[in-house]
Amino acid sequence: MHHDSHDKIILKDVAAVPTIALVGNPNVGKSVIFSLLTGNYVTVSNYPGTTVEIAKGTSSFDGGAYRIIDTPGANSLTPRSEDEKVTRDLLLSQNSMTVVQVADSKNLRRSLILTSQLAEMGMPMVLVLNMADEAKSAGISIDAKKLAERLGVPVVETVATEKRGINKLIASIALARSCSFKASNHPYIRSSLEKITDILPAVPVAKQSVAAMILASDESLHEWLRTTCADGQFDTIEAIVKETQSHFREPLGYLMGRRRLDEIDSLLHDVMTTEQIDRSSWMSVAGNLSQHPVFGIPILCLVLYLIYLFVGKFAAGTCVNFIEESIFGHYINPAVVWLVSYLPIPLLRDLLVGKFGLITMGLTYSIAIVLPIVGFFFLAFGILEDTGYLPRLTIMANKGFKVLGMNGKAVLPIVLGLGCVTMATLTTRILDTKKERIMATFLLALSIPCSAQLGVILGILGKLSLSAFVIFVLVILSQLLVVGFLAGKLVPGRASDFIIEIPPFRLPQLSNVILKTISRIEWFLKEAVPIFLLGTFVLFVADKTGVLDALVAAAKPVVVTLLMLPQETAVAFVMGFLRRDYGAAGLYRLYEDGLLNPIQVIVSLVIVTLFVPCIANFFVIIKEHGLKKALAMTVVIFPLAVCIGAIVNIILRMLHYSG
Amino acid sequence: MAWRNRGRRWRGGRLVSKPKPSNFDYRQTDVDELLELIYTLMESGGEITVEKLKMKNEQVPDTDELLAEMVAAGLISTNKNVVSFTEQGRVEAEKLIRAHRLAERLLTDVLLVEEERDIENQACEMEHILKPEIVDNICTILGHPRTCPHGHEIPPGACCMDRKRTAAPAVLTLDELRSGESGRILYIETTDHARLDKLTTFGILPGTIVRMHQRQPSLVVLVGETQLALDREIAQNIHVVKTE
Ligand SMILES: Nc1nc2c(ncn2[C@@H]2O[C@H](COP(=O)(O)OP(=O)(O)OP(=O)(O)O)[C@@H](O)[C@H]2O)c(=O)[nH]1
Ligand SMILES: [Zn+2]
Ligand SMILES: [Zn+2]
Repeated sequence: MHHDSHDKIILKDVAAVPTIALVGNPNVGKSVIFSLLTGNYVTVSNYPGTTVEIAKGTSSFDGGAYRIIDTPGANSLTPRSEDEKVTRDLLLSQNSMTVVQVADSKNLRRSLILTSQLAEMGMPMVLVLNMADEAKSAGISIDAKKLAERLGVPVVETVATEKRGINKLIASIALARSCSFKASNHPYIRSSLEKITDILPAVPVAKQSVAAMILASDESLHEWLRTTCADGQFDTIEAIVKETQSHFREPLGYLMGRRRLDEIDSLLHDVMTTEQIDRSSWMSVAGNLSQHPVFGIPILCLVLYLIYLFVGKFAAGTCVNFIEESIFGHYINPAVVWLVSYLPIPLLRDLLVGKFGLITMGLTYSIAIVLPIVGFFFLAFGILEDTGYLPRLTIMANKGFKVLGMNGKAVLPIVLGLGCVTMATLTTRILDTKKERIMATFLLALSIPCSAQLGVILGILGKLSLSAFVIFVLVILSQLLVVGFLAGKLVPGRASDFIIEIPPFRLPQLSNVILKTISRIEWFLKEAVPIFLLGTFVLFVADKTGVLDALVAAAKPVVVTLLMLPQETAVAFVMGFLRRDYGAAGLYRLYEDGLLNPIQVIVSLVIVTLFVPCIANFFVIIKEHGLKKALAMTVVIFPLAVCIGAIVNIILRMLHYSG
Repeated sequence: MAWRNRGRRWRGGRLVSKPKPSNFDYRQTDVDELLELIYTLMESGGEITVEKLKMKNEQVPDTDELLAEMVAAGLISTNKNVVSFTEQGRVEAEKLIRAHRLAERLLTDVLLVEEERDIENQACEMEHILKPEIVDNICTILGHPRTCPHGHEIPPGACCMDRKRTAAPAVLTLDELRSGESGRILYIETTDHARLDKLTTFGILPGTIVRMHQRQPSLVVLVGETQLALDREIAQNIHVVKTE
């Protein structure tokens, strides 16, 4: 949710400022180290795939300025997903860059796979053994000095969350060397590597490494090859790959990987010792319970209930009442009205404090209603993100998502959508196939209420009843399954294999949770409040010119006849076109004013939830999938939302639901 | 399955430098190869005509004669040019194919032979000399694999049928481990490159020790300190020996 630090790097700007890229497997602490080095906050969470875009910042030490780049986590430099590709492309496109590889000390074996690939690329590097604390409690000790000797690069142990070892890391950057750790290959593969190396055009890294990627049948390189190679060379390379492969039974990438791991295992044998110790801690017990086949579901319900209590009851009840009624109701709004009454022009008075007044509506909605709710929601969500609970949901949901033609990994972006649908749409990059990305994007745009909206919804339902909350959750979930199932049949392609890393359960880090909440609130103020104000202005104009009345009248057959909602809800829906949370805030007011009965509350909330994606999200969909798909999704979503609302209405009325 | 370079191999002996055993029956080998050829052609579907066989088996000049001998021996029958197995012929062919494909698995996964040519040559020799009991032993050691490294089906033998009755086969698939049990990966049975690639990046390769952490609602395994959740279907590709 930090849009400004995520802007795309212009890949060719080899400025005089030396560049340091933080590279490593997912969820090893790159972003924590990035924040420590640059002072910029970037999102840190306990699941793989937090960073899906490049973030850059600057830092100065040793008397010089450095440009620091945070990259998406990558398990391999022959990428299988979009986020890994971002990292690989960055490495391939930058000249004279120093790499700081961040490794998880307790998973050194996997990290060294990446090290050996970086070694092939030949750029100077430093290896950071982060999470030394967790390695220690797992009984793992690593002889950093010996490892440094064998790799030929500085090796630094750190505990990023406690800022331990960071100064040593900074000091070691000047000593960065290219890594001498290289795996041997089968002679035949070696000669093919040489042949390809001879053909390849100049690249910023050692050609040998690109040749290895090509042999490992990295299709994501094809386009790049086609544009950079001279005529015919691409075909020659293709032919070499084919010929080499025909020589072997197993895929070349697998053969090379096997040799690599052999080498790594013998290295580890010399530098690492593991002591068997009893490691059942409270945290691991909690982690195991939350993914348990029997206890997992009740725990999920408990988590949802706690969020409902915290956000719906406490934030929306106690806090909003206080701010809206006491502060705004008793002081700010009367004061403003009094001040404005001196304004000579009635139209201007109306603009500020009328029915659609910038202050009485725009500011009151955003600051008095949405902000406190969303602030507490961010807090709760930040705590959840830090524990490592979210990736455990993938274990619970994998089977269900298989039915939809995706796999459990898609749970991550979808749950993250509860924080911000726009950012979550970017997170779909961690999914492997195009089908999964499109489906997750679509379901996010359709069914997932984002933080602000969800907060307001919780606020309304918190005032209504727990049963209304349960019904709402069930409607959204079953709708997700049905629509997902149909979409799964319609979208061509296949689901990828489900293999996902489950991070350790951790105690949330207070400082990180607070920082993250603040940065998200900042984002809300910057991004949402202006739209609330703009939206209010649009409504004001529409109201004065009579357009609003016409719209409401036009919507009457749908809103009043079909959905059996009061006519005023049409205004809230119009607001929802601008931002879904704005629409929800409109409903909040209607409900407070006693205009909605329980069934109408649920129906209108379901519709606002499923409503068209917000403008920011729309633009991200265009960016990731193109205008055509973005438009198609929007066109499908709107009528679908109304239909589902109508169905819910009919069912609830048949059941004589009364709150 | 050596019809490709069969003539050279068995007649000219250029590819095989070792002297043949004195009692080596060349004619029997020719028959075996033809049986295998018919079997694999049947697998890929379609009618098998004498012409088709002759074309595919062109290294042997006397395919016609050979076929006649096989009909006489009750291995195949011909009906207006269309060749089909007799029951006896099918059994013979399955035995050969089974030996060949198991040999391929043994060479690739356990003996770690990398080059296609070596694997093919060795498997082709082994299929003719391995006794059925030994083939079953190999099958058991490998945990009764279902497919060869190319993804073709391995005809099951008696040992595979007993599998359910035997308490603990030497080799299990990863999904058969109970929670808390560990196994060392012996081989990975898949032709899906993307899958192999992904497993490789998580450090799941022959030799790696994996521990079953949880079996429901999805499989969760421990590789070193990494907890990985994965599809049952993938785990079925991974063959392990239990370790304690
Ligand atoms: N115990 C411990 N936890 C750490 C340490 N460093 C980072 N963490 C935690 O590890 C988790 C992941 O940290 P991030 O910085 O988001 O990891 P990342 O490598 O940027 O992750 P991706 O962007 O997803 O690739 C967070 O929950 C951190 O609090 C450490 O040294 N010790
Ligand atoms: Zn085969
Ligand atoms: Zn068997």
